[in-house]
Amino acid sequence: MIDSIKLFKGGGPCEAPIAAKTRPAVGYCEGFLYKLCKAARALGGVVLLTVLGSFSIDALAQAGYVHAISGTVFARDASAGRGPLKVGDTFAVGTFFDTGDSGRVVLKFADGQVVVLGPNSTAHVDRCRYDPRNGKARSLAIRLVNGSMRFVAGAIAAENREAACVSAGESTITILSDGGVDFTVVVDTRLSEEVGVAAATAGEIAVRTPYGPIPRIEADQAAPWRPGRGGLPPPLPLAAMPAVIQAQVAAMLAIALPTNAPVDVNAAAKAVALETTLAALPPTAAGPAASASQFPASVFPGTPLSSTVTPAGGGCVGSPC
Amino acid sequence: MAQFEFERWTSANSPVDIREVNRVEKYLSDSLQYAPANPWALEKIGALELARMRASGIPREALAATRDARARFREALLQRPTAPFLWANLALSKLYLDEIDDELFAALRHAGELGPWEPTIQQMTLFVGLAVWPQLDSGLRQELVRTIERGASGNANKMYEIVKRYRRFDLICDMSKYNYIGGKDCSKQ
Repeated sequence: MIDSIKLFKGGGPCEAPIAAKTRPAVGYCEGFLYKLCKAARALGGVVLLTVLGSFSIDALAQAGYVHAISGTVFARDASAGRGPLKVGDTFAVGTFFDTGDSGRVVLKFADGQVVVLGPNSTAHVDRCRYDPRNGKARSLAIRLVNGSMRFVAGAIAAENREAACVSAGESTITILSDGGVDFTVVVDTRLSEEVGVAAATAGEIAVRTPYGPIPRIEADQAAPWRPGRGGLPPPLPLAAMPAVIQAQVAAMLAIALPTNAPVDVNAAAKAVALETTLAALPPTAAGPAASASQFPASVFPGTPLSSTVTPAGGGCVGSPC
Repeated sequence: MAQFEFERWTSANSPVDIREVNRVEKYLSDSLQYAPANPWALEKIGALELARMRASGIPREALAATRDARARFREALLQRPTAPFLWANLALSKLYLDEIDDELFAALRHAGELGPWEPTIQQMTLFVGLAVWPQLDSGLRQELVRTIERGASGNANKMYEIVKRYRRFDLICDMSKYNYIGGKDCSKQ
């Protein structure tokens, strides 16, 4: 537990491995470059390989695509500058995402990983190297600069948790459980000192914060961090967290997500863009539009009222219960 | 009518539409117009506000609902200071507001004193008490342990669920009454 935190001492938690810096053409987040390199090798295309080698493969490859969006979300990268995103857009390593007051975005990566950004959030894809055929050439680093983010592990983190690095502000999240993890992190770095909270929905995580480590957050638990108050409080069930935290996490959990299976980024992006275009078409005579007066089930996510007024599998609000 | 709706929701097993909540809240608000300090109506509105908080994905809205719930419970307590449910609900709303102070500790103490054998009170005081355990004085901690012991009679499963969610097996594994439920988890400790 503590060892996994120590792993991040040294050159920064999300720093690219040395191999990634010296060997340019070993990893990517989808199959296009792999096929290109293979074709070049078959042709004896030394020149082509040399040209390819002069680029950063991470920067060229499409790391993922925008699966869903609401409100206005901007993306910024070195090549294309800043612009509003739409469903089906692909993005590369090095992209900054910036959601506005009401913006939300669901990003899906080549390895299946899903990242949801809530309103007023900024995040950066630091690294994404995914070779479906080579487990050793996989790594991932996502940085939440400010705001809220839900992270659902894909193949990279599920198969080798140490290959994934997620940071939020000055804090670093370590995945402790093998086989996948689903967590939400909220961080406010606009204050003079960082405040944040991490909540695990599945799997276990640890957080190294500027105020000390949170050694373990298990599923259904959350742990906040902030300066002062004599050390960090222990993780508690999410249902015992302050209302503001519960609402922030609930908002992230209420967003429908795609599966976390690996995808061909370009094909999946085209498919979801087409789906969105078709959904935007006016209704045909075949049937009426969905009733706007019907409330979604997520108004009371997953539980009847008798349970929503019952904290944490026990207790009851209101009498008699 | 509001009581009927509450009972119907409690027996139902499906999510309640937010419009239903608003409708019942209207009954209760109307009731308060005839009897402004009716503690029963105040308590029910407080409960609905907490339900609204738990359903909300908007921090500002959730905070407002919780503050309103706390105000309703306080107001109801002026009329019914011996109601353990009101004290327990006040403690819960203060936990959700992150107000870990003397009022919360007093509310926990009163709830335990006034309803020691009431299963729901046992569950609520345990839930809130474990959340604020590091800040509790030794007297309240001992009272909480006694609540767990009392809860073993007829309320053991739910009490154990709460302890398990907090991973506080140390509080329960020495109690023989919980051995048949917690033996497996306790053996791992």
